[in-house]
Amino acid sequence: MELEDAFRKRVRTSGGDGDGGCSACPDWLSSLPDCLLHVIMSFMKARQAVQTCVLSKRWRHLWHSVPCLDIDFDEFKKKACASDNSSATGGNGDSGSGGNDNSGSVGNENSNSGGNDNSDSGGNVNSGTSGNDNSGCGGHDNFGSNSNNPDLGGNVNSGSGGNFNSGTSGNDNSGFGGHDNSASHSNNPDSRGNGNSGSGGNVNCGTGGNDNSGFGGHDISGFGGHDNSGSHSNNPDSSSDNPDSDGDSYDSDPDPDSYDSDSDIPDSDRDTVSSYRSGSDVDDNNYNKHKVKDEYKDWEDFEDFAVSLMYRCDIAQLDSFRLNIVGSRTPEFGYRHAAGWLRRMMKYCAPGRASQHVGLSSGSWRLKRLHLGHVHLDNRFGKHVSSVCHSLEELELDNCTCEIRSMTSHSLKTLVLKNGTWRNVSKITSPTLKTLVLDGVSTGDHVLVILAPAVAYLHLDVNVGYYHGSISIKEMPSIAKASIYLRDHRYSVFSSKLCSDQFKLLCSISNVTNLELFGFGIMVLGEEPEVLEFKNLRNLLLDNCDLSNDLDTLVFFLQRSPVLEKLTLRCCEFPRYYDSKKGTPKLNETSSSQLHGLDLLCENLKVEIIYKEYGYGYGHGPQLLELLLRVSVNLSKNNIKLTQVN
Amino acid sequence: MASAGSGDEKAAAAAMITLISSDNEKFEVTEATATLSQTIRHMIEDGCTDGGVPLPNVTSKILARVIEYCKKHATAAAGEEGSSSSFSDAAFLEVDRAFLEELEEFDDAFLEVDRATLFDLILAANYLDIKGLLNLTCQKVADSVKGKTPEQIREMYNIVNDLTPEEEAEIRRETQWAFE
Repeated sequence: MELEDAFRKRVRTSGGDGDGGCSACPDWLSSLPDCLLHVIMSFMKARQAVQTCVLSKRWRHLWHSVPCLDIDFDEFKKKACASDNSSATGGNGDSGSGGNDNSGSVGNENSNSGGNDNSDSGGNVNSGTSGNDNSGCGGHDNFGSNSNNPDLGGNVNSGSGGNFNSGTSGNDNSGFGGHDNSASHSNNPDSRGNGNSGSGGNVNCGTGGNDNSGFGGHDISGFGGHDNSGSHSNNPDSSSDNPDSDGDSYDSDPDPDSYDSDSDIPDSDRDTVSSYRSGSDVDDNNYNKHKVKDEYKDWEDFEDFAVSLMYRCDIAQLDSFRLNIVGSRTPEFGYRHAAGWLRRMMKYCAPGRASQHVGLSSGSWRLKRLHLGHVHLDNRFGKHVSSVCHSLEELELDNCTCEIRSMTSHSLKTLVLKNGTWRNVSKITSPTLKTLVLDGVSTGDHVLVILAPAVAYLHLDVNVGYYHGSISIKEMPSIAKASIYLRDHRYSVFSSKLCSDQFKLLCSISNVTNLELFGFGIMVLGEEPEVLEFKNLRNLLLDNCDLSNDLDTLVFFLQRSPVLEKLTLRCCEFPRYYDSKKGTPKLNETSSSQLHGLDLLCENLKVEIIYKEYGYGYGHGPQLLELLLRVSVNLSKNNIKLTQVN
Repeated sequence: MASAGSGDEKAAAAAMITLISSDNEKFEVTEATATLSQTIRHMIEDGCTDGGVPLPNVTSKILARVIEYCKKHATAAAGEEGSSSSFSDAAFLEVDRAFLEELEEFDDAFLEVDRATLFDLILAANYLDIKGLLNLTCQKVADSVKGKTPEQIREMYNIVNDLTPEEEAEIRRETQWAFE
């Protein structure tokens, strides 16, 4: 209740709403039919949608059948901000370090591929996952030092380490049991805040035995930190292998005294506190405890919520599901945990299905849209999408770490992959896919192969400067519009495979009508350029492309585009050889003869040159104009437009 | 937009459809505009739009707004197709963006209505099966309660809490995980 009050207060102060109610108005909202209320609730974040159950009798059960769920950590951030402020004085140094942990997690994970291998060899079912956790946490080192080290930052890590490791493995082995326990927790109103321990404790406990076997002492120690949160200072070993002990220890867990003595922070923190204390139990700095609480408070609330909701809803019956574990405040173990929730939901949360016990639920899901943010996805996710999500039309993975080896969909229409990391050689096959967006995807040293022959719109935006991997896009004969951005390769010491594969990439989209290329360069000229023809290309935009090789690259495109109507050159790099006296470019014979060849092909070509005034190597639009006019008979000055930008 | 001409004499014949509101006002719209409504699209396909389409659930005030929405979104769709070959436009992708921005601005302005109108629009969008309008208006309602507690939502929309305190406490217990 006090949380509720705080929440209310915050809302009041922060967001005085402009469209306040009119006291005389009837209850239009409740008078809408269920189907429309469901549409409205589908636009709410999940927690708020559930909270409508106390509005009135009319609303009590509506949330059960909302077709779209949007579970977002974002919805749980506000309280934390408030508590942050309240304890802002000194804790910030610490919380800063916590924040670093969180934000650093991505980097860690990326760079931790070595660790993954190790974990794989661990033979865990989840191996990908658990292994990553261990390494991903980066916490191992911290971890070891934590147990003896009161240092707060270290403790945080240890907590996460424990949670993390156990959380993941627990899911595989007895994850469901853990789930049950958590469900029962929420039925016990007296043990408020249990949710926190429930989630932590459950998962951890479920894990116990399994993890120990897999990881030995490492996990046990990691475990210790958090397991205590569930079982309250029991020896972690004792809780392993016995799922029931979860529940028990859980029930006995709430310890108001320890809580009260710890702080004035809302009760649900106490588990963290106690876990913190018992796990590391070296630290007698109250102040630091506050910090730990703040660190995990919203995450734990979020975890309780997400786990409870995902347990209660039947994902197979949803239209749309979104799970977003957003960035900077997420504890490092959070990404793994979320993967576990999702996996369990996919495995078990299809009530009444006979195959529950075997693993993946069979039958076809209704799910049309699936958006996941910041979740680790292993290969089973790919298999699951392939085998069960027969209605899935839209899949968006935002900042997900993917260990998917292969994924096939015969229903997918839109696939959006943003800023994720792909840690395996992966193959995505979808004969139905129409829209493909790859934005900021990183593939490490691996190759991401995409077989999607029906794609009509392709957006590929990758930073090719920092890795060796590649994205291989197989032929797309139906392509109509493509925009391809290769960033930073010119200044890179690496030579990305994708970079040298520019030509291949163009071959696979050669039927395109509208093409926008950013950052393409000299390398585009492949070994056998004569094979390629852009027979449908009408609009071509070359943006920040390197045309300095006697315009060969430009000629390359023009000669192969018989029906080109409009060419836009935007901030491209042009040949830099100038006649020092006249200031006009000199042409060598090759290029001028090549350019003459263009006239036949592109008679009515309209050209727009957008240039920077002072950009080094980019500018000189007027000179280029002159260059083009000099070599091209058919190109009329009227068809050329010059635009200068800053 | 509200043409007062009678339904019998349809000027542009085939391409025009006459919509008749509950208070008997007639609106003449192009087929492209009208078919943003799946309901009307089906009627056109079934050939039962001669003499006008009576819409007994929609008042003239609301129908005018609905048509305004449909016109904008229909022309936006058409304009998008025709524009990419025009030389004076910027790069083709930017054309798309400009259109989307314009539409967004229109939608924002369109939603500046009082609450009664908003709910009428929701009902009309549902009845006429105009998905874009339905989503737009429902989103607006969802946004209006964003971050608000149940108490605040009750207050805002005059929802009468007919749960007994015991019932409410029980529900809160059941869904405690959503209230922490």
